[in-house]
Amino acid sequence: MAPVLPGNLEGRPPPSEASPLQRRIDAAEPGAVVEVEQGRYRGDLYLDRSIRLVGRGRPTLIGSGAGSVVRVRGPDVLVEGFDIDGMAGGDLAADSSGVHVAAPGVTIRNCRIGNTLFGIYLRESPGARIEGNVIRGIPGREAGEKGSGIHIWNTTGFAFVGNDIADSRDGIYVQNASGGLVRGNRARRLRYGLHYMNSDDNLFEENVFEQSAAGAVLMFSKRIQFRRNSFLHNRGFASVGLLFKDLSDSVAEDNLIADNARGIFLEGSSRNLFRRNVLAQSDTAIVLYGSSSENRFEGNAFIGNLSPLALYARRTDTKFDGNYWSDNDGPDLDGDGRSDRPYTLGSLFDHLRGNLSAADLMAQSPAALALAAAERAFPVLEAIQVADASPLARPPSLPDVPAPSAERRRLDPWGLAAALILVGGGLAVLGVGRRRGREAA
Amino acid sequence: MIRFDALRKTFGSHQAVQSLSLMVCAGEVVALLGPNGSGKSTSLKAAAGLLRPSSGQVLIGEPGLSAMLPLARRGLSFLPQKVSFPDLLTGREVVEFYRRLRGVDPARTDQVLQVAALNGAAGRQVGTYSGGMTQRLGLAVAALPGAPVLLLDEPTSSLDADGLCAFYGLVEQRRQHGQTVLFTSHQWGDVERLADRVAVLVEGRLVADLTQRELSDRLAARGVMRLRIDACPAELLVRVQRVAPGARWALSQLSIPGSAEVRAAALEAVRSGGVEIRGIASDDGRLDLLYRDLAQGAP
Amino acid sequence: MSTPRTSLVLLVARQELLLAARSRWTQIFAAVFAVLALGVSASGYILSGGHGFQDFARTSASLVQLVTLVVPLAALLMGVMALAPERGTAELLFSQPIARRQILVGKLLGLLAALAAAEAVGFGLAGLVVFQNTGEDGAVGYALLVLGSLLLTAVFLSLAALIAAGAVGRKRARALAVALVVWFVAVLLIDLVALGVASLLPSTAASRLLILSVLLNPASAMRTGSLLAIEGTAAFGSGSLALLRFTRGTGGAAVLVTFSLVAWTVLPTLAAIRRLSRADL
Repeated sequence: MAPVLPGNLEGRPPPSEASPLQRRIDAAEPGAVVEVEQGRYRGDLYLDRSIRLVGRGRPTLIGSGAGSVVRVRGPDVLVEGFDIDGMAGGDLAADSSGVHVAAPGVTIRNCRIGNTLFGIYLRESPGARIEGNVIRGIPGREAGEKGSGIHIWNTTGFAFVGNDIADSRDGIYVQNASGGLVRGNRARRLRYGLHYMNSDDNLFEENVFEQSAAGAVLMFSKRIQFRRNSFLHNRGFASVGLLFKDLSDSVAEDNLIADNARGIFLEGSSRNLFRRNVLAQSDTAIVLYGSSSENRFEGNAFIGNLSPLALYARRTDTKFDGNYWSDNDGPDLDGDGRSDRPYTLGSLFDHLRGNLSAADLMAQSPAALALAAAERAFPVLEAIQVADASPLARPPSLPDVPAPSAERRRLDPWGLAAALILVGGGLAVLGVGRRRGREAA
Repeated sequence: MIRFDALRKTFGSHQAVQSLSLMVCAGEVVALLGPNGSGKSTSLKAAAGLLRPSSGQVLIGEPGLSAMLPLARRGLSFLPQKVSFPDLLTGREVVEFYRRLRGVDPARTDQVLQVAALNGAAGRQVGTYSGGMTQRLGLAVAALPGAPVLLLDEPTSSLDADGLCAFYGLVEQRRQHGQTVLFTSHQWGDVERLADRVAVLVEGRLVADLTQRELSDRLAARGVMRLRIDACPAELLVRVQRVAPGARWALSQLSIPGSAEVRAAALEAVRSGGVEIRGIASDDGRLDLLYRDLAQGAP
Repeated sequence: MSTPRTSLVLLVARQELLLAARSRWTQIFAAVFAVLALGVSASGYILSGGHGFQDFARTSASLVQLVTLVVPLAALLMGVMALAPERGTAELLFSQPIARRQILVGKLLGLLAALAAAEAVGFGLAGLVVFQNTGEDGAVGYALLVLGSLLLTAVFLSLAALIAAGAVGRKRARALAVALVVWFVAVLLIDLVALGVASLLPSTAASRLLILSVLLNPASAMRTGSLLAIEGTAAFGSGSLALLRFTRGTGGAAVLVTFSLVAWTVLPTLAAIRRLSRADL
């Protein structure tokens, strides 16, 4: 995960590669609105002045295949309402993109960008606003031969809102870019949904990172806030929902982190707070390296994870307090909503699994339960005792956490009919006992 | 017809039946007699195809098929010693099941239930039946197919009066139809009443194969008559011993062992001696003694 | 007056079904299974704290757990009770002109029908809850779970037949005890031992051992197959991948699981027939 450095800055395309629209742009006054009607425009565009380029009826810009399709070099440019086809061309080293920006105050809105190495590349572009775009990478090409959906480098202050990214290398790549807002984006089928380094004080809200090798991978940064994001279905071998490496003083609240091979991964990360998140259906909810310290988990709901914690350390100062653990069967006799005894994370069986992935096959077997029960009665491992001091006895109500896949939850009439047939058929067969031997020959 | 052909059956080191050869022909009713553990049930179960012979065989029917073959068992009905049925079936359901299994005419169900005096109880579950009723239901099932060979293991041991009546009727009817009946019993009464022939098994060996008449005689020959008289002068004893050599005088009783003729002659001898007979008792021979004697080759 | 063989088998099967349907044990099993299945599925949705995360996959996974624990026990105990009858009942039945294997197969079919019916009621009730709330994508997994449960019933009935073959009268109690031991071994002990041995082996061998024991043990095979069908590789995390690598894909896994279950049905039945044919009753 070496940082990807920006490539050469592409300049004005040669006439043979330029778009027929280039003349209108060159003729426009700064601040002018250039409206482009429906149609297909072949060639690359160079925007060197602050104009508003607006597509009417979704015109299509088809790149030359030699480099970026739209090259924004002037400040305060707006590009809106285009379909942009990169012709799978360009040069990774030159950051060839659907829209390549190297200017302040630029807005890219409501474009559909496809078949490009990078979708939108922002190079030293403070105040960039990227909103409502649909970005698709080059289908079938290996991740290493593609760029990111939205890539931002060396910028302070930016907003990515409501974009939809798929099939690129990474969804959103943030490097040396601080003070940004990333809200309501959706990234899927990628290497990493969010790839991130050396960028402080960014806010992530209501994004969905799913079906990738990792939902979000954040490194070497401070003071990041995650609220109400979903990290879902990141299911490959060693996939992660949310990975922190050398990431500190950050807060993750009200996120839904579900159906990942590993939910949260912490390495070298300190003083982070995880509060009121739902961590569900992971193979391992939390992977924790000893290099991390002073992290806190409070009021989260851990539901249906094969294992709550994989700890790669002799000990940890991570604090778990007041979380809900769906496999916690400790009673709450005094009725204060907390179990009467601490919940221990990790069992003999988890220890086995840590060493041997095939042991997962028995994770849901009575044997694993028996091991856990036996260990509770006779602790045999000098196990690293990580415990939630006062686990919640009942699942908490977490209204701000995004609801999972609402579209899947509906009535299935065929299923119901089949279920009725099963009940009826079963009862009918069992009912033969009621008819007392009165059958004719 | 049923033929035991050098049947031998061992359970572990225990020899239950040792080389039994016996033939029961059509129209014959034969009793297997013998003390407990003599191999009667084992022989019968081998004939019903329940036990695999250690050597030899049991052949059923005219061409003589091994009882282990289902085909051979079409020709036989077996009533186990302590027959039982699933408690949750009604009597009628039991009979219906076996009727279908044997492919018998549906009308037979009611017939055999009637013969077994079960029509009233046929709708009740077998679990509610008394021991006698269960045994009668067993008889009904055994009677169902009218098979040419009927094998009955201790059929009368737990029969009530109704059942006994039905049982005697069944055997008589089979005899008249020229069918083969082989049964085991402890009760001399059954044997005397039903059997044409008696095969005696002792410790797994066939020690006697006699007509019922011959065996009756042998048993009677082991009978004892006891006369209560006031005194027995020596000449009287001598006279009696002349016709009944085993006569003894003891405890105011004159005991006279021997066959019926011997006893009659002895009685005549006492009378003609002018002695007043105050009481008379007569026992037939004890079966266990007869078994012992037969086993030892005594006549 | 000969009756065809198949109809004799069916006659015995129907009689056994009738008996099983009237048996209090079947009724209790049906009721208990229905309550547990309903409880598992209802709690899956109601107790999930409104996140809906104990949804179809995990509900079905809980049902799988329930099935792998309860179904083998019911099949073994009811199988042995039905297949090791009282002496007087067995002697009368086996002296009839019907082959012993036909009686055995007939009884097994009848028992299978009764147990399957009892399970169907439970699955149906649970399904009524599950399918209020899930899309079509759950139906196939659920159907496979029901099918797997049926196969598991067949497997343990077949083992019950082997245990009970030739056991009549007083040998029944011993057969029941053996059945309990078999249940314990299949449901718990094999996995425990495999885990224990695996923890001592180098990881490649350990991995292979665990995968083999999961495929060879019918209870585990059913659990693994159903969970894989329902949850995909999410079922066992990286363990799934190890398994699928071993079986060369999901198709291979399906074939091996099915093969294991079918073999565990057929082989013990054949052995039971062989044992029964040679037994003295």
